[in-house]
Amino acid sequence: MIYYIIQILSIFLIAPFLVGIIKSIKMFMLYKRPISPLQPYFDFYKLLYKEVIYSKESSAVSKIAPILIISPLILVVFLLPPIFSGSFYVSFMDAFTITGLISLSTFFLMLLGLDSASAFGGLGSSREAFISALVEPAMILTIFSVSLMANSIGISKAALNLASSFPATHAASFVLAAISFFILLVAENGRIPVDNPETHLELTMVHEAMILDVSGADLALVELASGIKYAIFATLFVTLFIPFGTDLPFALAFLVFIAKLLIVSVVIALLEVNTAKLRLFKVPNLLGISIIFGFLSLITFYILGGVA
Amino acid sequence: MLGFDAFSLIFLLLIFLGVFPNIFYTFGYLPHIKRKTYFLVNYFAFIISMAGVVLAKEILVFLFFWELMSLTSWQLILTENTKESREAGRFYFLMTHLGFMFVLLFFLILSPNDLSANFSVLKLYAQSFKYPTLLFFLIAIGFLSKAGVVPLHVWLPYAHPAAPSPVSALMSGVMLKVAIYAFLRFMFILPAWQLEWGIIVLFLGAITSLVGVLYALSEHDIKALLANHSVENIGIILIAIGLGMIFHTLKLDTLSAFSFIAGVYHSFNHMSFKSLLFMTAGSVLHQTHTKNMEKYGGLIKLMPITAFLFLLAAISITALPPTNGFLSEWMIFQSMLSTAGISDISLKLSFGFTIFALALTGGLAIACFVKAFGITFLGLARSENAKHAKEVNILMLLGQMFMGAVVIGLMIFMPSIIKAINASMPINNIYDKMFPNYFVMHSVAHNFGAVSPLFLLVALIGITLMVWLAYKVINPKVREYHTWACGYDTNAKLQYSTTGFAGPIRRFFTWLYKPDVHEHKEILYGHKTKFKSSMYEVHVKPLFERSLYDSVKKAINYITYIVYRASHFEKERYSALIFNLLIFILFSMRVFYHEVSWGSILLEGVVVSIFVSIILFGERK
Repeated sequence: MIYYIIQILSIFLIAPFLVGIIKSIKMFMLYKRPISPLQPYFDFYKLLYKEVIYSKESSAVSKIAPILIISPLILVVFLLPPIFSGSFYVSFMDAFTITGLISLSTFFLMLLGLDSASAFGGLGSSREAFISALVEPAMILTIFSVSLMANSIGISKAALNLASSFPATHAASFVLAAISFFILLVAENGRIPVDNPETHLELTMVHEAMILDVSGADLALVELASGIKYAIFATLFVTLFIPFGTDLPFALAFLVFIAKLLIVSVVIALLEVNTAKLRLFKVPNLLGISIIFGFLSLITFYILGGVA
Repeated sequence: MLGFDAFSLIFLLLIFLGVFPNIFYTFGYLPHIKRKTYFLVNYFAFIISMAGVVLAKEILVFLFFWELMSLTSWQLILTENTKESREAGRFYFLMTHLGFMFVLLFFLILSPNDLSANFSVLKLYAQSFKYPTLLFFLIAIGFLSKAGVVPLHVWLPYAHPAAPSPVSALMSGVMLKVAIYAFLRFMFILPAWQLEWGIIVLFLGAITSLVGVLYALSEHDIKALLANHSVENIGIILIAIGLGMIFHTLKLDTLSAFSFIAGVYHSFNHMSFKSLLFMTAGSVLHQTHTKNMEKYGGLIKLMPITAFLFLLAAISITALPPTNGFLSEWMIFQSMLSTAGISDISLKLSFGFTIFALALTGGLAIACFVKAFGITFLGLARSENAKHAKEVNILMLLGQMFMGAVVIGLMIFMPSIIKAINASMPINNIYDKMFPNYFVMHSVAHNFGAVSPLFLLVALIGITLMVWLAYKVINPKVREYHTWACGYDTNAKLQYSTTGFAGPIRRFFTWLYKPDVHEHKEILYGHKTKFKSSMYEVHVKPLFERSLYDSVKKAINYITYIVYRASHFEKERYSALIFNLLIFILFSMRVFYHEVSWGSILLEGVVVSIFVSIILFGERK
């Protein structure tokens, strides 16, 4: 139980750091003077005590949505796969619940965008609705495929199964599913090439447009939520698709986990520096690749004689 | 005559849960209706007929109530005597009787001599019937056309919105489930199910759910949007039923039971949230006097209770946890994951495709209900009527709240409902396997799927409260000010419209929608970007209606035209026809007496060709 609590606390604590390190690596690569990776913590603290401005056009939704955006994501952190094989994990919730909770958070985020009667909010919500509608099938297909390989849809059990007995015969499906999930990781967290988290340009912004009218402590909550969401996806990616290190002693397993998270973040940062943002109507092509890879993973699994 | 078994009772419960809140709502809505007696007589006859269909135990009684259900709902569509409702009524009348024809044919074929046979006798007849596939098709077309399955769904988005709102709620929420009941009831009568039947139903379900949600997204009439979502949800129910049939033929009885339960449980859920959505949408319509969502906006401030209940139903219909919609969709996903007992790779892959269809449907449904809730209730009012809306009267509110309670009740008391559904159908008892304890629902396949609805609910509420408390402890300073609109006045025109919101999706699916776009712009001084006024209108006519129905209409028109032409000749053609006939008789007589010469054949040929051309083209003017 103590390992479980340590894991959850560490995911909460490291979430802003991961966002910060991506930003600072990107700035370094672009020959700017990098910000400290700890900057998101300072921002969070600063925003928490700033004045909150509610728009006169908005309704109660603006007041409760930030809380409802973050609370499903907090719950998801409790359901994530264990990083250490001896630790407690939640066995009575499965992968569909996790995707559902993430969608619930996105649902309120989109409503928040529409509440302030601003053109930007609607623009962001509309685009987010478009992208997340296409993310959903890819996500479920990938999860389906992984659950077949791991012989369990319960995500924690699946991660442990993959770590203890890696399905070497299905390495091809495994890699295809991993690529598909990585695209989803990029798309769901609004990174380049799907969305650019740094700009406030109406041509390109998606996530930033929705939260344009949010300020102060509310903004702190929403920013923290997006950090946690990134940490959730990164944790899922490293526990499901880089499944080793859980059998080590806890301290080592923890270090391995943190190292894996950092590696994923560095890869994302490198990817962001080296690609251009896609036009909104090109994004379905990218997500289409993800869907196709999900299917291919499933087909290879069946053809290579997977029984599950 | 009438009788009940467990399966009737479970659907009677469904009807009761759907009707009870509806009656409150109807009496609140009544002042809005001009022909009150007409409406009430039909309304109650409609309710009684639905209960009658479920309770009927003999063919004739069943047919009587089935037809009564069609006729009363048809009359209810015509309550408000407008051009729109008359057209919808005519379409509905035609389609529902097309379905009735197949239902009747099913009974006539199965029991030709005895139309008052009991259903248990009917089962014996079915067992000795040689062509069960014929019966399956008759049932499928007859009952599923009533349920609104693609491609027989086109009437639904016209008929349901045309009726008064409480009736739309009943038709979408309850009547479609009665059709599902009839389909299941007679499927269980048939012996020797074939694998192909299940695959057909699964395929129809997948297509129906996608088509429903895609056309819902393109709607800006709120009730038509909801009606299209009914099509979608019927598709989801059919996916579950199709899976159950496939598993049944493969002798995977536990899985089959799981899928059937998922289907019936989703019927319950759809009844609850769709009724609630139609009621709340009806309240909005009641206050704003328009169904056009482009005229709504900001209603959450004026109608907070209605808005909250709409939100509850919207979260439920989009299958977001922890609502009942999520639980039934979870069950359907779980049954699709259980491919372990299937050896056929193509069948396994078809499950993969269905998962894709269902997941895409879920994603698009979220987009659609963000649009429906966001544009209707959030932001600023887009019309005068929306500015002066107020909360509806207490009876309507009561009806909505009761229905909200049904939604929440179906979520909280899920294990008991599953138990009842399981006991009602001729399937394996899997309740103990699904619920080792009351709090966690397990998948019956060996893949450790599990969800705990109550834990989810409590945890979400708990975490939300804790975050809220932390927020209160910090207690940030609050100021109110207008939304920044780049230096212009913040007004309603700056907001996104429904058309705009669905824009990216419409553009992506433009090959399917083929939208009619009307654009009008008055440009100032030749600048493309500066204009005095502009108008942009998109209308999407469903593909099925355009291709299937319009071409059938065209073909019928063409045939009737030919028949008309053939029966209304001018006198020249009549005489040409008579003359031709005369020559033909004379010619055959000479053939008969062997008096044929080439010269006369040539001569007669010329004469006949002249007269044939007269028949074909009429007299040359």
